[in-house]
Amino acid sequence: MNLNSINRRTALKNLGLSSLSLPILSQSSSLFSANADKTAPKQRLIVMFSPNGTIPNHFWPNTIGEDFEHKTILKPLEPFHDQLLILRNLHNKVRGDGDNHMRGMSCLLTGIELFPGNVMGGGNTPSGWPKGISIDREISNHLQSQPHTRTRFGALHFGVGVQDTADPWTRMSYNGPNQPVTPLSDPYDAYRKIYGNVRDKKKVRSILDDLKADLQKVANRLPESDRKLLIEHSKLVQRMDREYEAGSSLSNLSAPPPELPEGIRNLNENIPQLGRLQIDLLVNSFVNDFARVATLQYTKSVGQAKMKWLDVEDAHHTLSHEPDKNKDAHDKLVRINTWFAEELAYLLKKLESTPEPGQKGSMLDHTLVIWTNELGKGNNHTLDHIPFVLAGNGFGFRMGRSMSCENVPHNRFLLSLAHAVGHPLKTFGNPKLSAGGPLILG
Amino acid sequence: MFLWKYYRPLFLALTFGASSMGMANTPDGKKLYTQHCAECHGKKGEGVEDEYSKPLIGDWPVTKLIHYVDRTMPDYDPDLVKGKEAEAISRFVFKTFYQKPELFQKDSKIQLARLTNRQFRQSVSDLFAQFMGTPKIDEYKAGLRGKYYNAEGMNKKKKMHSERVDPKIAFDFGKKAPYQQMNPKKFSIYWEGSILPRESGWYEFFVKSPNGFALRINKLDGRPSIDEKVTAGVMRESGTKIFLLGGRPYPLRLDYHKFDDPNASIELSWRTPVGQKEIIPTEFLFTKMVNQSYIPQQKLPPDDSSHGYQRGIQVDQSWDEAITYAALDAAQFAAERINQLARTKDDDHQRKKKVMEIATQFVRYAFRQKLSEEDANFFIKSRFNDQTPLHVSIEKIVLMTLKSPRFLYPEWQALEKKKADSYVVATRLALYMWDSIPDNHMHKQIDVDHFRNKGHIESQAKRMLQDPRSKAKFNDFMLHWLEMKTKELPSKNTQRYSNFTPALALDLRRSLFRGIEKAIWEQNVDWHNFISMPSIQFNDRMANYYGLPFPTETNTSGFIPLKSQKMGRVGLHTHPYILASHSYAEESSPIHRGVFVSRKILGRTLRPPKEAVSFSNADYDPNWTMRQKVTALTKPANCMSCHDLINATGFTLEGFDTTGRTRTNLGTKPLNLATEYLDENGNQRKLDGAKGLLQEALKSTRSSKYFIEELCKHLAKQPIQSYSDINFLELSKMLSSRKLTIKDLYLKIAMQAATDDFVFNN
Repeated sequence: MNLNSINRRTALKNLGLSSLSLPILSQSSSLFSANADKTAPKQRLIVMFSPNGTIPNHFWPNTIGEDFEHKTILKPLEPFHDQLLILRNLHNKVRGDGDNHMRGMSCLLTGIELFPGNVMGGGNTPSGWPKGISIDREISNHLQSQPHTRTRFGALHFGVGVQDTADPWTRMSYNGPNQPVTPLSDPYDAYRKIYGNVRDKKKVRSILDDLKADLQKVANRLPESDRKLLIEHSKLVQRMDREYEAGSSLSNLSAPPPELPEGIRNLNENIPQLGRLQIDLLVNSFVNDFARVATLQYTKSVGQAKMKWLDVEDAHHTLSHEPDKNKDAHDKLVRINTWFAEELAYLLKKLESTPEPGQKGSMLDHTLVIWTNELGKGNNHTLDHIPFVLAGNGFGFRMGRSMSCENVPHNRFLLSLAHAVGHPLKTFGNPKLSAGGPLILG
Repeated sequence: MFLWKYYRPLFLALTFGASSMGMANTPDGKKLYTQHCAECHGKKGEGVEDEYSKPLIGDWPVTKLIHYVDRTMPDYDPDLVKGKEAEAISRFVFKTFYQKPELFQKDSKIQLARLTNRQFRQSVSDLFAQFMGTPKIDEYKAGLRGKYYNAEGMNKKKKMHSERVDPKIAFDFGKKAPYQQMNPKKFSIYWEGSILPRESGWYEFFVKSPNGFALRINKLDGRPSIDEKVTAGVMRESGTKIFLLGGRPYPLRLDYHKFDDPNASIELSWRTPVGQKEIIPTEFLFTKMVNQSYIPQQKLPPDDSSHGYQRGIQVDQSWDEAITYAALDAAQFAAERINQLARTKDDDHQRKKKVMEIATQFVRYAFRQKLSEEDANFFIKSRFNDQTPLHVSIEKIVLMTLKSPRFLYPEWQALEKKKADSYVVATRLALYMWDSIPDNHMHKQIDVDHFRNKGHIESQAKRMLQDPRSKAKFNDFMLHWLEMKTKELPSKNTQRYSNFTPALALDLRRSLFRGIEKAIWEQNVDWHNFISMPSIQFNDRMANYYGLPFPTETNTSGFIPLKSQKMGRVGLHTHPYILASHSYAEESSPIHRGVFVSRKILGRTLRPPKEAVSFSNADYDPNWTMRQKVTALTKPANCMSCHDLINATGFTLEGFDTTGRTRTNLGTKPLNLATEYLDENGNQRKLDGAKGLLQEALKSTRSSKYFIEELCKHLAKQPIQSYSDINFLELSKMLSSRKLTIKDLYLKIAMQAATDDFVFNN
């Protein structure tokens, strides 16, 4: 089917939407017309990832449409009902090399096959990195190519508890073929990237008074003729104190950087705290308009976090392999996935309570958050029914509903993301899987 | 003979003058000096700012001084002072101050100085080594240990097929497996061991392969130094850069996986601070894997080296900031590894106590002293409280400690105490011998009051001499003394000398350094053997270039010693590296060689020329020898004041071409290697080639004295006059009469300088 010939009504029909939804659709389309204005609303994208599949019967709403119910896992998102869009029946149909975890992860945002390679997974053939760019980077590149949407970083990639390995299970963003993008998995590193060495300067300042005293003391104990160098040194310390006190270009920021508590170690048990810090940094970087695109990756595909804070001592991936009848494992996995939803709720709340600088509405009104996973279900490793929970009004989609995508490849969803930011690609990832063009979500 | 002709009339005149002149007719040298010279040279020869600012001292014999004054002084009108007057002035200058440099010494006491960059890096690294273990290679087996595995599925180590030592990593397996019995499609290799670089500086490491690999250099945890485990189906090369301190081993691990890729190959190479990329040679690889160490990676602004050695006499903003960032990095490193450093774990109920203990040790080692109650409170105890996580306290303590003047100015205690005590001696020994801090062993000796007795201190110094850090520091001195630090690798005209490749140049440099290291530390040579260099290390590439037979079987390093004499070489100055690096791209350079041998081998003083004249080969008749060209170029009297020495020494090495190959003819003309040399006592000597030069050097105490002074400056990084207990004359006599080995000289200087002003307790 020719992409351009598709009209909205046909699309709705194809997607099985009732005509009841039309008035609301036309309402939301007003956002598109606003896009054309000179003061176009900012559009932001966040992709949040959690691994190892979901527990479908506690995740997917039974109802398609606006009145969908929030089952256990999505319960924490209930307050955002009107800003949610749950995409059902959307599948990752990329095949070829690599096991399902690898393709689940590395084709999730790229929609394209992996190169043959040497990384052997749990099944199928070994593989390398994907053959193309991921949608988050594609959109960022597009926004960076235009002066009015260009920002300092374009995209920022945050990680929470991501291991120090580089393989197709651990990366979801790619700059192009064979070009994995490494997430910043330590909030202190992320802070340094975004705000420079402000924290270091603060640390240094915290000892400068003591250092001055020490220099004075040592100098006093030396014969006068030997003090010259120490006096010069003291002057340098004074200078550093003054300079570091003034801070740096931070005074120009719309919002000062969040206060990072000292010394949270990058350890499994600190994942909840680390995640919140990353979310705070992410939102702050948006307020300062350092980036329009961000990813937030919790652990990795096959991630083995032990979520002791949920009274789960088992490693996540191992747990996800347990058969459905293992009730204990099942319950724990529901807890784990619910916890991720709570973290998403924290992010949404933060966006909602943050006004979009210089524009109308909240930051959530200008952002699309996608919560996704590399697998539909952990113990059968399916790439069908990939969880896609969308939140926020930034891309002009019609929110407040669950929608069936009629078992199409997820490439079409990735395409619709590009279209929503005014980047009308014909295909994204594998062209064959893009056939049919973008999903109509507006 | 050019020089002889030049001087003969002068000597005749002098002889005649001395016998025919009565005292009454002798002009007053002092009066004439004041009249004609003091304006520029100062009343007492001390020099005058903006005129001739340096003191009027030197090593010319009086005859040469007279001649020079007669011909060129005063420089605004050389005709003003002639004949007898020139002689009177010269004799006055010569007798009163010319030979007494001590009259002009301003720095006659130890100055407060900060750690130099090298001292800072070494000290911080050793500070951490007290807790992480000192990396040490006790089993010198060269190469890397390789474990060869069959792989299957996700299991890359399905079954070990073989284990062996690989001398270097440069394999092209093609479509095959390393062993016939292995599956050529799926296999993996794990290499591990250590790397021991000779020089300090920035190293780049590269791995090249179409397959998966991960390299770790001095980094056994966290993200690998290079992570390319995922293949791209094409050949690729990845690099990483790291600052390494020379003479210390670092753990190295290289993981390699082949999985269904069409071809298999891997290369591990490096670029050393000298700048030539190459497969890492076997001589730097060892099978034993050592502990990881901490090496500060912060770039530091260069130290002052205006006095010919690096010293920490200046502090400025860029230094302060660099040190601050280095301290921050070290603090973060400590905080991340707090459990490892304190040998504890998160749920240890003794954790806090253990952490406080190591914090106390850390500060004590850094300050080179036991802490008073007040200092312990200020630096350590006050940083711990119930609200602060332990690793945050440690971070602050390390930051504060490394920025404290007590760490950064190692001599401060000596200056405070006025009288040296055990801590001062220990601090100085560690600083002078290692460029570092006293180790645990020394602190223990002080605790039991053993660091007061001469015998005990001496045995500590002897122990320290055996430590690789002494060798590393001596090597650093050698690089400086041989001017190898600042010199790039010699390169030659690629058409005329196409086989003189950068790889060969690197071999030459390595050969020289390796030879010296072996001579000093393994053969324990004396000064005589050191500058005579009876053998030179050769590898097959060198042997091939210099036309020498070379055995097919050698040791793992590829270098073997060959007798210098058999290949027409005699002395350090005939090592091909020295000859090639003191040459032009197309021709030998008697000037560069002459300056080098005059200073280093003969210990003579040379001032930089007043006016630089560049040599241009094209200006001369192509049929002339270099000797003829240089002679013509340096003919003016102004030039000859120094070039008589430079030419007389440089021409003796004309038997070697620009790449250091021996030669007897230039075209059809036989080369003349004989020269006339005026020694520092005014004796005219005949030098016959390189051998004559060496004989002259061995006869004089001047060359050994110069060497000792240079070594002393390098060890102590203080003006040598500050040490009243060092007897330079005595040491140089011992050295030239073969009563002292170089290693013992190192020990003696360090010992005498460290115990200067110290009262032994016997």
